[in-house]
Amino acid sequence: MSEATSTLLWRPTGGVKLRQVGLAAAGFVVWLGLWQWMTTTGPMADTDGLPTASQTLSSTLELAGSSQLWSSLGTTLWLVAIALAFAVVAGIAAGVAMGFSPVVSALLDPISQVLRPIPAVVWLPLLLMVLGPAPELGIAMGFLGGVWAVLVQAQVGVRDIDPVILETSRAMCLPRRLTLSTIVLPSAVPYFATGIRISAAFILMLVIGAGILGGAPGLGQLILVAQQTGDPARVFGLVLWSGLLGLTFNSILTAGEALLRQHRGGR
Amino acid sequence: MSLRSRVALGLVVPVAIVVSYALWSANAASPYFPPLDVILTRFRELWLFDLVASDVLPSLKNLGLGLLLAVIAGIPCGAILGRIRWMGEMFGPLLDFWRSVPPIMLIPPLVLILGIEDSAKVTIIAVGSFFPVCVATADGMRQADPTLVDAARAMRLGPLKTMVDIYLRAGSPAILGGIQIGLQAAFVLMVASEMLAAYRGIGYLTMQAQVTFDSVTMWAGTLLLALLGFTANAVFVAIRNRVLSWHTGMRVSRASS
Repeated sequence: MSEATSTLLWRPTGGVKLRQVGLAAAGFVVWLGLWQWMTTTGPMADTDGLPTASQTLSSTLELAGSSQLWSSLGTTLWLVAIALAFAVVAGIAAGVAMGFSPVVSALLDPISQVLRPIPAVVWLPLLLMVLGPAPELGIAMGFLGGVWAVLVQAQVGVRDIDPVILETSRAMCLPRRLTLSTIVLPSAVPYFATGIRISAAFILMLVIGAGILGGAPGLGQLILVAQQTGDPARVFGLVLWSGLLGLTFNSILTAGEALLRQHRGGR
Repeated sequence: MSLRSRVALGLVVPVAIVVSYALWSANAASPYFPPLDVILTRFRELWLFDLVASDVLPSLKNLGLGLLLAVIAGIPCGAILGRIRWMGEMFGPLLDFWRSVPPIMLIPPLVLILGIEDSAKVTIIAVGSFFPVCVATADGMRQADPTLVDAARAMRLGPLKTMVDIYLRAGSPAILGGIQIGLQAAFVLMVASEMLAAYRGIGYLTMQAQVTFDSVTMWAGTLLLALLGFTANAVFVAIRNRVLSWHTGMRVSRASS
């Protein structure tokens, strides 16, 4: 789980220039043009299941006018929000406790080390059996995939606090509860923000994944149905929508994190 | 805290989970949660080593092949996007867009085009793990020390040699980080593509067991998948640390000097 999971490659410096926007647009045009050529006159013409670029674009636009798409997007985002809330509360609580207390760390660190590298998709059949194709399946999958990033960042954030400050608070006999609320939590906030950004990207992926693999409601379920009814243009249109959703989602989170860091003195 | 008490404390939670599950499932007789020994027996029957050749090895071969293709394609593409400015400006945003598509979302369209054969699985895995490798490589190009780049220019090192010796070497921690994310994506796609559309594989058998309410096989499959997921990552981390030992060594010597 490195930084590279959700920061963007495209980082224009010194304001967005016309040249950069033009080149970026040209990149998309080249891609769509190549796709259109490949699927109409090129070597991949009449490939089963592969729509042309124009078919895909018209299906993408058509989807924009369908209430089904918007209600699915809403459901997906709602499930992401719930899973994220659980992941943030559990991740911060456990991470701060682990960073703060060597006993809690010794207790929980080994199990977190073992469970963290296991991709959450592994638990899908188990959760599907217990929960069924319900919204809870998406929430549970999202939680299992997203909790680790928050936990790790919270742990690091607490450990990175200047020891002098902690020793000062101890010398001044500040009660532990006050140390936690006035020193530990505020100084770890930028780390929480990073954890939440990384975690949210994982959760979005897993909520959609739970829809595709387990039939949980939302965007994933919509694409599963489109695949099963054999409507390639709609499947590709939905993939484009999911890219748009992911891009918007990540940009907002990255901007929010940057804003928070700036606000807190650019750490 | 002494090592001994750390180990003792570390064992508390796993032992508590296993013991309470064993005690509870022995009495509850819930169809979803079979007793531990039944799961382990089934695990031994299926995976040691009856189905290894027919269902485990093909999946792992797809995983390795797909990831290999992603690395072979991703590093040059990333190097081009990272080094040639107009290429990066032109195709960076497109790459950002495709990288934002959740990897599992790539399965339905690719299944529609390619079907459910092994070659389709390899393609799905390769496409999904290509993006993290490519992006990390492009990002890693920025890590090169400008002094070294100038030195290479002064010594008239050829472009290929500059690329390999200066840029790729400086970027290798980032690139290996990208390959690690690629491996995670590849594993997810291997399992997910088998769950969604396949006729064999661990993911397929586990999902099939779930559909037919065979909870014992489902648990045994989940156990194997979890073990494989953990092991794949651990093996990669060991390889990465070995490959990057020069880098860690350099950082340590710098920190101590």
